[in-house]
Amino acid sequence: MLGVYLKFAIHRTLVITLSVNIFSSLEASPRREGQGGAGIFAAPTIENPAYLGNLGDGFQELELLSPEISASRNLGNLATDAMSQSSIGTDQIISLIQKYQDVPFYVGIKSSETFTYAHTRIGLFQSLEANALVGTDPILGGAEANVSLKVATGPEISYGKSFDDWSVGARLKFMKVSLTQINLSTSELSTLDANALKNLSQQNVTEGQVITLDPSVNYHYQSVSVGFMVPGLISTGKSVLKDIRSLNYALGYTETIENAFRIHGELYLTDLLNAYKNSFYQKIHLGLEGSYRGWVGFNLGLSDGYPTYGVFLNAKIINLELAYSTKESGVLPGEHPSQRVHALAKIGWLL
Amino acid sequence: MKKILILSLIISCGKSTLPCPTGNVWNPLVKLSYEDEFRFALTCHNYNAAKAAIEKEILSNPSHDEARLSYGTVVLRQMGLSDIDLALKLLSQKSSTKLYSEEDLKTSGFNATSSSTGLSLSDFVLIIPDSTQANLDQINKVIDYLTPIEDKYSGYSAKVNTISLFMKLKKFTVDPTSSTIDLNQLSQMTLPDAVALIEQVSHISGLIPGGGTVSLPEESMKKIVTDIQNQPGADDQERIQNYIKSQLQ
Repeated sequence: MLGVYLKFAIHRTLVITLSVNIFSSLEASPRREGQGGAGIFAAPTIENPAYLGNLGDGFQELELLSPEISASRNLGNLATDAMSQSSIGTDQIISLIQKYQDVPFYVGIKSSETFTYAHTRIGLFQSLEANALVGTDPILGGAEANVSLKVATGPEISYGKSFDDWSVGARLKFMKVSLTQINLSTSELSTLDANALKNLSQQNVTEGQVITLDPSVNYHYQSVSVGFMVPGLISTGKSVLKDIRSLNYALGYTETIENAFRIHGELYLTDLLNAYKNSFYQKIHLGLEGSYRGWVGFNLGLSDGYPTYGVFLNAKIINLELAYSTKESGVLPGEHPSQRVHALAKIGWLL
Repeated sequence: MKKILILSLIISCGKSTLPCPTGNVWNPLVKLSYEDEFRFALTCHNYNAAKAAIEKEILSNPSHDEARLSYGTVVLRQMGLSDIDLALKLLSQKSSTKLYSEEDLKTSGFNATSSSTGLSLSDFVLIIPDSTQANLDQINKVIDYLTPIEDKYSGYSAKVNTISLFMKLKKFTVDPTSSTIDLNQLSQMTLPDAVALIEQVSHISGLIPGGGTVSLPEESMKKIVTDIQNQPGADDQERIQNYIKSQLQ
């Protein structure tokens, strides 16, 4: 019997250590994460290419480096627990799995280099996202592991044009995407060995090219802004890789005080076509940003039903953004909250 | 504006329908199905809420096999006997006595794939929760729920029955490897305990293969059971009582 569980333990150890899983997207910057995923109109955002239509002529921005990391907070707890062990053996690893079962882990890393001239922006993007969850089968009680890893890289070009109070824009992405998704049930875990794991990893990788067009349209009237974004309006490639077409709506209000202080509030409704089958509560994003001359500011928000916070520093040659949010990884709000920290440092000649 | 105010009022004053606080402001508005409620409760380790949801479901839908299985899963997790819990506990045990063959392990429902190392009876009994009345009631309830589907889910039923068996054994003896149960010990027990002990030890005698280093008095137990059956009495309990009286005379 002990041998049986030793073997089980080793399987699970393999699963937790080798299973890095990637999905979702890193579209929202920390500044927007702090605004509950809203903030479409608070600052230029890649999700809303229509903003390019409001820029002037000539050179606008050169983004030389913009490393961004987003990670679930429990990764830090896990690292602390692991480092507090005098040695890391199977016992310790199983103990950690026991402590962190049903807790989703996430890490995302992104970087981009872009150049904006007048109403056109070109860029090169790289991103990696991983998700992992060791959970318990609620029916039979066996452990099950879900792991996904997504790596995407490629160029993109965006263009915007304004007509009086209206502005329209579109982003065209050419991405090379690699997606690994592994789901292991108890029975699969019990028959897993190193070779099987290797085969599983190889069999569950999907690679391909994805071309996507994301248009948006904005309307501004005095302090009020309204926008529609259609991510994935056109997307070609393998079905599991390509972007899902969805429809997002943003309603923002901006108030400036003495030309120095600015308050921006926004309601952002995502996936109005219900393409992702998320619950209604996960579609609602509320954000608030307060800033002084656009240099420094704070962000507050509500996303997936959880509060979010953030701060930012926006100097001409460096931008720093920090945020704290909670994502819902489960089906229903409150089921699998995943607390995350986000950080971005952008260097260049910036907007 | 009025609608927003009403919504805010609902959010701030509404009572959460969730089995645990999650810090999610939409909680008061969430309407849960049975599956949602059970899954939610299990995720936040609110086992009593999970069991309540399952029992409600079984009551309204007795043919819901998965609900019956789920009840066992919740109880085992509550007792610290989930697969992961067991793996950790077993790793901390020092095993010296091999009791089970590979085939025995497979049929026990413990997902056995190897018997290179055995687990001693004493080791196993040590990781089983104490035989408090509450624990026994819980495990008996699990068995009751599994009974209608035990043929369909024989492995799972065997796992629960094995846990039940060792839990009951743990109640009667400090040293679980002890091969004798004397009549003085038996006579000091309440009648239900004595019946349970004899039943369980008889089962163990039948389950454990003869090749193990621990030998339980199978023949002795069979003789006791036969003797009890030969006692006068309207039912088993009366026959056991008469049997103990006869032995103490």
